[in-house]
Amino acid sequence: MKDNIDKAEAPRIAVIIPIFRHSTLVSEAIDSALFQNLDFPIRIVLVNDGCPHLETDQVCRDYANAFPEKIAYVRKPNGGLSDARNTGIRFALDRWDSVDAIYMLDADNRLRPTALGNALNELDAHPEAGWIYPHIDMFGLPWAGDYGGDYSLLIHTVMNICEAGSLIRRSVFEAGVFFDTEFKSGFEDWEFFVSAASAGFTGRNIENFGFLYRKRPESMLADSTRDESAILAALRAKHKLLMRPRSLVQMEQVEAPRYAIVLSDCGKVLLTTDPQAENAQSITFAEYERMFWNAQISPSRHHTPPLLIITTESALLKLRESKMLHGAIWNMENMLHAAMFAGLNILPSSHGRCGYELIAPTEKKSVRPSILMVRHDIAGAILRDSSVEWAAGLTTEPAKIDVALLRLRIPSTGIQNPVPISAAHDFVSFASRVQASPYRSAASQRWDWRDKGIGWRSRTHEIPRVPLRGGVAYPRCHDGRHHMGFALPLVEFGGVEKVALNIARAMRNRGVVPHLFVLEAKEAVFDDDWASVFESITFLGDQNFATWGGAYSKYLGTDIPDWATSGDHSTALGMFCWLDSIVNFHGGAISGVMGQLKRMGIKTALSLHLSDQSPVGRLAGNTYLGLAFEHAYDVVLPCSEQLGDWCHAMGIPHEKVVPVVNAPSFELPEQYEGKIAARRNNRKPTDPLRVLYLGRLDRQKGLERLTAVLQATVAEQLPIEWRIIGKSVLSADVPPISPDVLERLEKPLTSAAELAKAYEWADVVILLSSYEGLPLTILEAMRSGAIPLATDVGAVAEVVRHGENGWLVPIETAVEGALEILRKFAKDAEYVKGMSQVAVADGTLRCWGATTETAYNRLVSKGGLSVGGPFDLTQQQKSSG
Amino acid sequence: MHSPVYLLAQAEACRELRDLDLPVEVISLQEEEGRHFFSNGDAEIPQEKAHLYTLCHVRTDPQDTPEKAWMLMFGSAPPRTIDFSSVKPEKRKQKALEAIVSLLKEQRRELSDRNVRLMRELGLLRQEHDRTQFAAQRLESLFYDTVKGERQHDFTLAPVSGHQNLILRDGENLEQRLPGSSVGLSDIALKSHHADVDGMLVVSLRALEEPGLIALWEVPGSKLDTGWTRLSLDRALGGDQVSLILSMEWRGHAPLGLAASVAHPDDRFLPRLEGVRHPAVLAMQGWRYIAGNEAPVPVGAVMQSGGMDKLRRVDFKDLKQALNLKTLTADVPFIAEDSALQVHVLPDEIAAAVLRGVAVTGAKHLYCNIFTRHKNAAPIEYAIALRDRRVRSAYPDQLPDFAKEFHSGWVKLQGGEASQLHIMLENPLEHDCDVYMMTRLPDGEGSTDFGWSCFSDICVRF
Repeated sequence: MKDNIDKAEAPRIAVIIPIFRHSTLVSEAIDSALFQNLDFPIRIVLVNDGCPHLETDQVCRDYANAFPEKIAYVRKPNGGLSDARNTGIRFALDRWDSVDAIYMLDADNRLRPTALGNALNELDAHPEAGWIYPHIDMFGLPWAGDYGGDYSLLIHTVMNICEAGSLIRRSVFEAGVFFDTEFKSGFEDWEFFVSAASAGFTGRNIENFGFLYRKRPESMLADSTRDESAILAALRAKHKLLMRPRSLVQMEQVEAPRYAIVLSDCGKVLLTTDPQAENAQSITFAEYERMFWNAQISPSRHHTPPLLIITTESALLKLRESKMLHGAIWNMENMLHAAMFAGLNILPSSHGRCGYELIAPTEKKSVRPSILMVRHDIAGAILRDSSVEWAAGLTTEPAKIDVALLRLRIPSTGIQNPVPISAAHDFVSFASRVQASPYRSAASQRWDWRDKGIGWRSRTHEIPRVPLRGGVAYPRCHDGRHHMGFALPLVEFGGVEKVALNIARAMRNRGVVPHLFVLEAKEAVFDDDWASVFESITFLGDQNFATWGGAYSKYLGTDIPDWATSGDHSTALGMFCWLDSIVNFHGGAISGVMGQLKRMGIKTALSLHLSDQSPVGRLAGNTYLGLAFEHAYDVVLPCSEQLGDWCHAMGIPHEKVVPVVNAPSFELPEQYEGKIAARRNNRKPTDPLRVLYLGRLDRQKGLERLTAVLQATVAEQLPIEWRIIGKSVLSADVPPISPDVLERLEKPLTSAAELAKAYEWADVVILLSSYEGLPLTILEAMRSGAIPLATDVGAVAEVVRHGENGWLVPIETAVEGALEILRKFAKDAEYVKGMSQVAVADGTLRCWGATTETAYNRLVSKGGLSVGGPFDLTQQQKSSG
Repeated sequence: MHSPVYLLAQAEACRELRDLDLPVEVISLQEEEGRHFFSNGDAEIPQEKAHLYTLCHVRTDPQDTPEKAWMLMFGSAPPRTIDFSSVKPEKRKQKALEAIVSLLKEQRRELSDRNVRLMRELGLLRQEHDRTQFAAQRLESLFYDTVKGERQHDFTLAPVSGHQNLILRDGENLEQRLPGSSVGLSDIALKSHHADVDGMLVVSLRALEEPGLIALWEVPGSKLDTGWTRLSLDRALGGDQVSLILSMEWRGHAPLGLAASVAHPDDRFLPRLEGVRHPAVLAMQGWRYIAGNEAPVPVGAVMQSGGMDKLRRVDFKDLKQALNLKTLTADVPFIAEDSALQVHVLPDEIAAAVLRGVAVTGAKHLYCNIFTRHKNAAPIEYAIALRDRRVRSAYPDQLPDFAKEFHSGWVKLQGGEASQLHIMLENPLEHDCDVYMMTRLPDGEGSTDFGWSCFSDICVRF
């Protein structure tokens, strides 16, 4: 219902005073609102929230009767503070169209006479501001808190920086933002302003607001402090999207960059969280000096990046080219948990490999880092110090100061020009400059009379760590693309790795950005093939992580690694938290973090390949661990239909099982199909049969059966040429290798060309494994026309149709069966040719693009994070871009 | 604005009640599609008004029960009900008027009760106030009897040689935010250079959070010779914390230079000359005193305009600068524990210390405490005297003659005794004068042993 009033009387501000049990003190609040120095009208709405004190009603009636043109009295049943505020707000918005802003005044607080005028002036002057909030100047229990400086939503996620006594623009309410009546025990205002920020509004502090907060030892806020954890949990649950780590990192990048990266070779300082972000701010040394001293003098009000990095542009470029920039910076930040300084050496590695080594800070050593990262409190202390003498200890040999060192080995092709190793000297030089700043003297005087209100301002880098249980949030901002993590315990030439690479490649072809995470190994293959698929590679670097570590408990007979159930997951959570989706490739204990990632909104997937066997043949391993953590995964990706059926049979819901059936792990080189056809067609009946074994030499692969077959064919002098290619990967599992095998053993092949050539050479590929998933070797062999001769285990029969495109032998009679068919193959070239043609036809049917389509749809298209909520800054970037 | 009085009735009964021509407006509570609203027959009445102004409910039908709806809307019981259901129509007007009068009487009584209670509470507060005042008065007396009224130096932002002075030209304005807390601030000093003696520096102090001026100083150019100029408040600022801004306007032909101190990275603390920020903060000093309390103003300070310039006191700092008449150097011992200057008595001649220019123009009364610190000392005579600072001798050991009205006369004290010296002037001083503090042995006394003769608390009253 609208009030009919003259334009001159039309109020610009409505002051809402909710009243419950403050029947006496409220008169001070009302009077302070009544007697404002203003050149425009206001209205005051007294909302009696069903106060049981009759005096409240009487006082409100008295004021409403005494000032009928200024005060409206609204009586309502008790509904709590939020409800009372909302009632007043709705009343005012409904009644007076002229009201531009609403001021929330609690019944026991007061205003100085210029408060509303000052606040409205600020609101008028800053159309981008949704609300103007005050410092908190308390009376009763006197204390004054400085809540000045730029508004930061990032900080607002961890502490309430906006008092309810703020002037709020009408449009905030018109956007549907009101106080949440579910919050009855306190922090309603915190929740309200976070909601307003979520709706795209922003706050602005003014120094001279003139808001006075009555503080008594026992107050509602004291109640809310008691219930803080429960209220915070409710707040975080309501604003889950906003408060997830990746949103926080996004905000950090914009509002409070984590790193000041001093580039000594080009005289500038980058302010950024993501070292590769396009919106990194570049400033001069002089500008940084000013920023630094401002933060030293008023740390509650002025931000300066809490972590200082000294390096060169060329070092950053080198890491970026190696795809290890984010990971290295993240590893270094992790190292600062136990050290004041973290240094990085960049070293060449053998071709196609990369790795790392962590050197503890206590080891006396020569440092010579290319990058030096300094903990925020240490950087502050050094730069404030009167001398650089202590810091100069970084440059001595060995260094006098403890430095944790990360020795990163990157493919040697990535190090054509030497990377400068002058970061320690550059730091000393930079510290000297900052120390000599003219602003230094100002730091010895107290300037602001209010105490620090926003303690988080000086440690904003710890805010994204809050939901990560202290873990360092990976410094990477989202860019609107879908980022998928591939987590592997090790990256060598195994089948699981090849599957990961091919799924990643297929995902990349669909626009997904794959990232490789190495969980346990300290070295990994990262040759051109891998580098062309993955945008980054990161080593977890958690010394406590073990894929299959100690196990206090078992699930269906499989060890549940202690790390998964009770380990410190903070590092791993920090590493993965920024992704849209994550696929675990037999990462064992890493399953322990997947549930937490899922709760952060990250799609989780488990890629399964085969069950391991215990020495007595009992099935165990990642498949069973997957069953144990089934709830933590959105989808399970078995490598064969058969394994998919097994997953379902073992209790995984059908909808969750999305087979990504294996396909050949490499593309044939160009025009190779013709070459293969020629080779098969031109084979003469007199040519010896070429038999190839290609794979690891271990117990699983049935080495003893292979040896027996080889020896028998030699003994029978069958016209067979043998090639055996491979090496043992799991050294503890290697049975004694016969000299017959050893004399034919060739080193493993890694490139597509070498593999294609080997398969082309072979007429038969033999694989007499004890157990398997769906071996890539068989698929690759068939595509090249080599006939698979394999034991009938795992999902092999899913591909090999006995007697049509290959030959299956029961494991119990594998040697005899293999010998029998080899004798036939050796004699009957036409039989070989016919079966080879069927194998080629079947082998070329499989491709990763088709086999990953459903997985892609489940992980990316349907409910992927990049189509997230209103605070998905990615979306904002996309729309603005 | 006229406040209505409503009488709530069932919609069907409203016409009949309006026909009674009562001195109130009859409204009804109605429901439409689950929404309750009030109506006076012509228009809807805002809910909050119906709640505020409804005097009573008139029931003409036993089925008329607005309690539930009222409770739903307001969370309280509805106003008193007057039951008309058994009242004959011809008696209804009389009954209604009686009821209205009865309710208004009841309200008047409640109001009177409340007023009486509030008056009684005011009385209690007044008595409490009287007791507090009395206690505070005694505390104040105790304080002034036992505590030295010295304003405490709080901070110095010293001039930094590398920074250029701020130059104020005629009519230009300069604004500087003060550091730290406002609580208890009593004095501010600025350091100036090369002032035009005919000029005037107008300095004002205000708070960011409150309207209006806190203090204003008009400093003549003649007071702004090179050095610090101290601006005093007659009463230290109170306990209400605010952010202080010092504004300066210079009116003079020659420019005024103000010394600059440290560079500051935060714009809020940088001075703004005609709106343009200067990179370094003004050189300043600050003093504090007990918040909200008066203290004697230092003799050399500039008093705020309209300030109660009644009493000034020589600061310890100035006391320490007293010249020894024999050497014309500042080597007179300062006894820190007593905050006193020791003018040790000499054999056969007068010992004197000179405080330069502290008896400022306008003073009518000068007094100080005197005492001999050791009880074994021989009797010592004390005196103070004034002499125009412009005729001070440039040579040591030249004790001038003093006009009689500018001399306190000699007062003799025994060892361990204390007293006061006064110079009461018939007319206020027309020029700044030096103060001479003198001691001597009375005739017949020869020993200066333990002659620890002291002067303290030198005060100038206007």
